Amino acid sequence: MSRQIAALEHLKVYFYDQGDRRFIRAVEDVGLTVEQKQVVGLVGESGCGKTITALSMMGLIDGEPGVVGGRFFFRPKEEDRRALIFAIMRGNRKKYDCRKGELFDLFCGLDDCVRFDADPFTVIKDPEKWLRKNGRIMEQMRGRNISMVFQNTREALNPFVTVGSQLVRAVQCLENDKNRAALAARAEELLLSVRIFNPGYVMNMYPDALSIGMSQRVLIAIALASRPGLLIADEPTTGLDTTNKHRIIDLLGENMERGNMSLVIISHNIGIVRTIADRIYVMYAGLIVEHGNKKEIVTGRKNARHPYTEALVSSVPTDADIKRGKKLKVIEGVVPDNKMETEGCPFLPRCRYAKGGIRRKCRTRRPELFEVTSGHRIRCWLFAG
Amino acid sequence: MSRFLKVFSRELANALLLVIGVTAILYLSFNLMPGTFIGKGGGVEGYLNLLKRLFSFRFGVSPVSGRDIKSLVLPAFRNTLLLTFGSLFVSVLIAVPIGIFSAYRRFKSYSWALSIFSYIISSIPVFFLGYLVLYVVARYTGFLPVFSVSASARGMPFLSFVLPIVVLGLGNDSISEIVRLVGGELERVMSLDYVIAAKARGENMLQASVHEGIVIPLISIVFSKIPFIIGGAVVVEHVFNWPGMGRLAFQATLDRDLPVLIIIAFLSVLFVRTTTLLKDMILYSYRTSES
Amino acid sequence: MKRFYFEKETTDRGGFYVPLYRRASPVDAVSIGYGLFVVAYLVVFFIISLTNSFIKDPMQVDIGQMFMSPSFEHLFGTDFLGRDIFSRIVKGTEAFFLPGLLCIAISTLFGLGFGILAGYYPRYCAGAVFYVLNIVDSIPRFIFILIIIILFNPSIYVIMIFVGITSIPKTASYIKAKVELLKKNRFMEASRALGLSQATIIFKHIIWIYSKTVLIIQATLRMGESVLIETSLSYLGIGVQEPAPSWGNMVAMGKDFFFQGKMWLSTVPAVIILMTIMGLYLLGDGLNSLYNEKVSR
Repeated sequence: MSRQIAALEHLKVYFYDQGDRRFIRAVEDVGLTVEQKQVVGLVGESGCGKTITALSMMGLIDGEPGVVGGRFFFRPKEEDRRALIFAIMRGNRKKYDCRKGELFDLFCGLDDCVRFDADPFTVIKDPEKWLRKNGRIMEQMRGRNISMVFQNTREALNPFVTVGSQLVRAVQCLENDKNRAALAARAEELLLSVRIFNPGYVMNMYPDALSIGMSQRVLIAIALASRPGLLIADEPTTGLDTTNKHRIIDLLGENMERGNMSLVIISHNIGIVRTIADRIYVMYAGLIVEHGNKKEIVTGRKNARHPYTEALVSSVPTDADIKRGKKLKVIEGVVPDNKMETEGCPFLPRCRYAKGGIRRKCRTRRPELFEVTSGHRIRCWLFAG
Repeated sequence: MSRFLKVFSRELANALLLVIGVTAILYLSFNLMPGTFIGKGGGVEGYLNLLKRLFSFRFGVSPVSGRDIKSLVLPAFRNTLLLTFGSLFVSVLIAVPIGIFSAYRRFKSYSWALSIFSYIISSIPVFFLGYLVLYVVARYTGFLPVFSVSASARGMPFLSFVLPIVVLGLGNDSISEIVRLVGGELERVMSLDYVIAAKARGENMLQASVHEGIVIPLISIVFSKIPFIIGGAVVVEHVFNWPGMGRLAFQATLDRDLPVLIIIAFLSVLFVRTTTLLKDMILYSYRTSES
Repeated sequence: MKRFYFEKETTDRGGFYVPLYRRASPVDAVSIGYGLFVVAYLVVFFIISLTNSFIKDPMQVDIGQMFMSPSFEHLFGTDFLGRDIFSRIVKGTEAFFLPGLLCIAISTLFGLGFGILAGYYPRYCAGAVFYVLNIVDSIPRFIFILIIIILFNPSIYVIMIFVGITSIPKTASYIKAKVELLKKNRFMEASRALGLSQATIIFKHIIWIYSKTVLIIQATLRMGESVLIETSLSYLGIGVQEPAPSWGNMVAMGKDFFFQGKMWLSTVPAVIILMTIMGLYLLGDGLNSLYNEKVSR
């Protein structure tokens, strides 16, 4: 068994609606494990909590109105371990078991700032303390250990600074070299590694002069600059045409191999994810509904698949479908509003299989993740027991 | 570069037009006043005559005090420039750190106290603050730090020089506004995608948002505050006996010496328009570097 | 520690309407509350000074009771002529209250007019209007007032009219920006297509629905400015003249005794000025962030 680099357990994120005075569930009970040099795909429709999951892994969710709970174990690089332990221990009076082997809990001690009252249901929270604590721990991790490529390519680059100096800043995070020429050389090298073949020219450009594909590459180069252990790519292919999509994906895969790094790739497009991912997690309405190896998810071996995954996979046309001129399959209905607190399975209104006796169970109780084969779990009553 | 020159010449022409408009109004007010002095004359010819004299800086002699206006006004103008820029610097020095601090959400409860403090400071009437400072300094140093040549020769020139600047810097009502603007803008910019992306890479958030969050709002507000600070300078110069334009203007008002006041108005309009031009060009060059 | 309540059964309010008082952050609520308190005491003081009841005569000289410290009888003490400082402060609101309102009225009315003219008919009016307004804007306000004082030797009312004139450009530019923003909106075309007259569009939609908040905020900040200007002028001795009370000339008269240790003479009116200006600024800024407008002083 290879080494785990990150493990997310029971992540839950709620947002507080100031006007309606209630909590909106963004993500609940999400678990995710990433092993070294593994590519993990996170798939789901928009609005199902993929980005929230990624942002909470990065510690970028503001603590003010929401509740973030759960544990996030992460294995830092050797040289950052001491600083991380120091950051976790600082300000914590109680002793926590923040270690699991080589992994450290990055959400350690955050629960101190939040208290629940049962009746009437109240959350008492010190958001500032929460933010400071979270920031202190995450500051050690961001950049050198976890990094992220953002969704809005165009807006993720600073419009006031040239591409070159942004790259140099990112490089500086890793090696505190004062030598500007060396830094610039390293930046050019990075641009070459993402297949930008005129780095000297691009370095002096301002970001709005770049095309979307180009700026996506620059962003990836910037993310790679600090050689992170785990890279989260949030919808790296939005707004790109098909050829560019595959190029970007290839690029990510290539650099992952080279840089000894793990990758979490987030996309609504299961067709893109399955070309690269080893494991796939399928999310629906803030829940993980199925996870397993790529083969099990995509091909549905032994016919064991969550109805949602099945619909998702079959909505991507195969070559044969296109040749025969078949109509595209569409999943009926929409993702449920997170404001509605559902008791049962969230996919029930759109589910084809919930018929007969099982339907009552689907409506009243939320299914758990049932293990089908080892490492393949499905949240559906069809596979219970 | 040619685009820059084009915009610059357009703005310059605009500024000149405005200055000419202002002088026309001043000319009209000249003719409302009984008596004879420079620029007084009939119709367009008199106005052109006035313009010629104003732009060649030949201001003539004050009919009230009988002194040469140019030698009276120009040193005062220089002193007021010093006071204005010095106090702006002090305001910025105090307000910007508070603004930056209040943009961070994790320090909200601390920065609240600071921003209330900035409100209190900026709404202390400047004439009272001046006396308070004078009182405290005079009591504990035994020295009255009003500006005069003999006093500065006697050993505490620094104090009498710095105090008015500090008092005007605190008391012109711009600190709370700068705090609010910089804090608000910075908070907005800090939640923009590119800053969050920089944060995710482990870079300094402030460094990423300094251009849009601090520099641009600061430039636009500081330059637009200059006319108000010249106004506030009248009071402070009165309190501290600072030989500046404000005190001269006030003295001219008491003496009903309109020509001096008109010249002062002309110079300050020239100054205000120049700074506005400067501001426009700085912001313009920022915007071109963006695209 | 913050409490977040959870209401189980929420009524469906339809859409995303959230009442204002719930949108307000605690900081805004406190600053608006304090601002309203200031406005309240200003109004009460003004009414009292108009009716001339409830307070001692602010003009009555009583040499036997000079420099009295604050006591129950004289709330803020007495000044160098034995006049009651509290009643002088109450009476002092007269010096800026109506002139300030006049100033607000002028700047709002003309600012609104010019702003709409420039924003709604950009082709014909904007250049000329803003040329005139820029002329007014580029003379520093205090110098402008001094020129007016030499020319007309005016009362505080006339001075405040000119202060109002100097603040027209600011109001006008906000209104212009607002109108330009609205003109880009589709609903303007829609309302024209529906056959609404231009007067309805301008008066009902642009002014009443969309510019109301800007004007209120502007008016509040302008009042603070008027207080500042009136007190400064009175302090310099060119505004309200002794023996008529004004907060500014009270500070000016009191400061001569400051060095003798009789501090309350000037400190009390100065603190009142501070509280008032701060309240008005806080009210303006609080409303500003509540309505999410971007209006500066």
